Amino acid sequence: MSSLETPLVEVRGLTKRFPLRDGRKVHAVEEVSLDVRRGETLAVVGESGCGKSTLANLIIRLLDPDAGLICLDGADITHLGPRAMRAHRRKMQIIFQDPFASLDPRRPVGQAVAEPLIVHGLANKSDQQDMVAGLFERVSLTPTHMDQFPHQFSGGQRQRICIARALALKPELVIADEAVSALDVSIQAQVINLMMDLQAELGLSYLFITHDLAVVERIAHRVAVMYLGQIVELGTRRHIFENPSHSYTRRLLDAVPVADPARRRERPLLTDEIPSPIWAPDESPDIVQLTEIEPGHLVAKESP
Amino acid sequence: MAELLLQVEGLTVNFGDFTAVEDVSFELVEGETLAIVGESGSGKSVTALSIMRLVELSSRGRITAGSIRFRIPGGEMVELAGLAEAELREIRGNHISMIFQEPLTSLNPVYTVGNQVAEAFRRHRGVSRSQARLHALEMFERVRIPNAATRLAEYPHQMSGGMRQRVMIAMALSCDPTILIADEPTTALDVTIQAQILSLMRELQRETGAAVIMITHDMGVVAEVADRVVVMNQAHIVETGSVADVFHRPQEDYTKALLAAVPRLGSMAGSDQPQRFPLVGTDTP
Repeated sequence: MSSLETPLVEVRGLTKRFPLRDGRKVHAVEEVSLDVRRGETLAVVGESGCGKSTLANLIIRLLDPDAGLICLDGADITHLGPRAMRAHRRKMQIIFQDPFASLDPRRPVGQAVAEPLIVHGLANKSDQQDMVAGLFERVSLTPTHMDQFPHQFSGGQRQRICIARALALKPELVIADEAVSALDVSIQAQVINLMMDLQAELGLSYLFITHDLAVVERIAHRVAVMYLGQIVELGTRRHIFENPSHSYTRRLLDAVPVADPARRRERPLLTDEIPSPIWAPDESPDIVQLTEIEPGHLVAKESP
Repeated sequence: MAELLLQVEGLTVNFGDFTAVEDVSFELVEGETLAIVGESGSGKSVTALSIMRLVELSSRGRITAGSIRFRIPGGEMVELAGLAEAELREIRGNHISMIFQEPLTSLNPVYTVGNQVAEAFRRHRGVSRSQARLHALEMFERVRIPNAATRLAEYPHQMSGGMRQRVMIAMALSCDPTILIADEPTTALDVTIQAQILSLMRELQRETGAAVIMITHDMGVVAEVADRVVVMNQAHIVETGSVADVFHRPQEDYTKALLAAVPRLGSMAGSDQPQRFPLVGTDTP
């Protein structure tokens, strides 16, 4: 297989459990397997506690998995130490939900964007300024913004700064963990358009973690639906939105309020709660089996 | 014709030199759902807090101009803008009640939820403890809390966000208010729970006939629940109209731009590739 066909990220059987003080465990991620292909946006959707953010943190090695395998660009990075990881870190970057928390309030934002370049020895003093200015322009900010501080920007501008910083190392994968969720809708649309433009220009792959299915429909090539730590459905955008085949996917889609009063629906009066991913020491959830119901469309088997 | 319940005219609210709401006017008639929609800082929440004059209590806001006239059930219109605190207390939680985004901060962590709902009712109606307790149970059943009798004894932290919001709704409706103001009631909830709370609110509105003012940033929520819509931006009302008019025939540029930025599930059916938002106006901030 040529390197063009190897997925950028391959995740196999990834598992992470967090012990609680009483001996029980949160089964945050259970045997998750997925690929992120080159140049695509894979969206991971699910509700609070489904394990989607833990999955992102595992892939970028902010957390160590209890089991499973993570390959980046064909190389197994599952157990690499900090020094060995450094070369691989350049290939993947992450942006978070709250850009204000991701930026040092006492440093000009230009320095924040320059920092990865300095840490990785990619820029000397003389060309650092130009490289940062170039990054600012790439995210539709101007180089005059470089000397300002985080509080002087709006939420959308701050997220652009975080995107510029993520792009500084010319990564191949950008993980966006609810990166547009806190933004006002008009700003959210602009940041999503920017991310799509950058993908077209730079051939980036995105792992797009979100709870918002309407946003996913805009931005994703493929979608993985997570529920209680496991993937219950995985497929192309059209598989998930036009032929949702797992009951949970359908429930999620039905629940999204659609911004069109002509499509208002009466829904049954339900009172379910999302079950807990916490298990006693000697218990664990059943691992769902995924079946391919059409090429590239995997669905978990459900007990009737 | 439906009776006028609330008439806000020329409402202006200042925080020091900053004008958070300026010259805002709207009406609410019985039984309807009015959505006030806008982005951060548009003044929608300050407008909501001003109706019961909470803006002066919770923060240092001041109503500097305008009138807020409310019809006492079976009576005439009273001016809330100048009303004394003692009289306001008769109206708050009794004739007009409010629910907020984060129920956990609205509930007292050291009392059971049943106690809190019962106490609110007892304060306003002066009934006995056991009567109030019975009423709390009825209200829990009304908002479809499963195993209502056992859940009355739970503390807020033992409940999920969706159940806590049901408790808040139970408390808000316990005195049978004519107006329920809901400030982003589903924003902090997961989407499947949000759908449950929205259908519950719609059903309860049918049962009680209360009018609802829904404050939200979410055009999807507006489309789901509203009869009429007020669009706010930068302290002002931009546009007011029926939900169908605002969504399908928006008049103002701001409303058009806002609607263009809203992702609509199903709007891209048949498309194999992602697509940029077709934004109106400039595409950079």
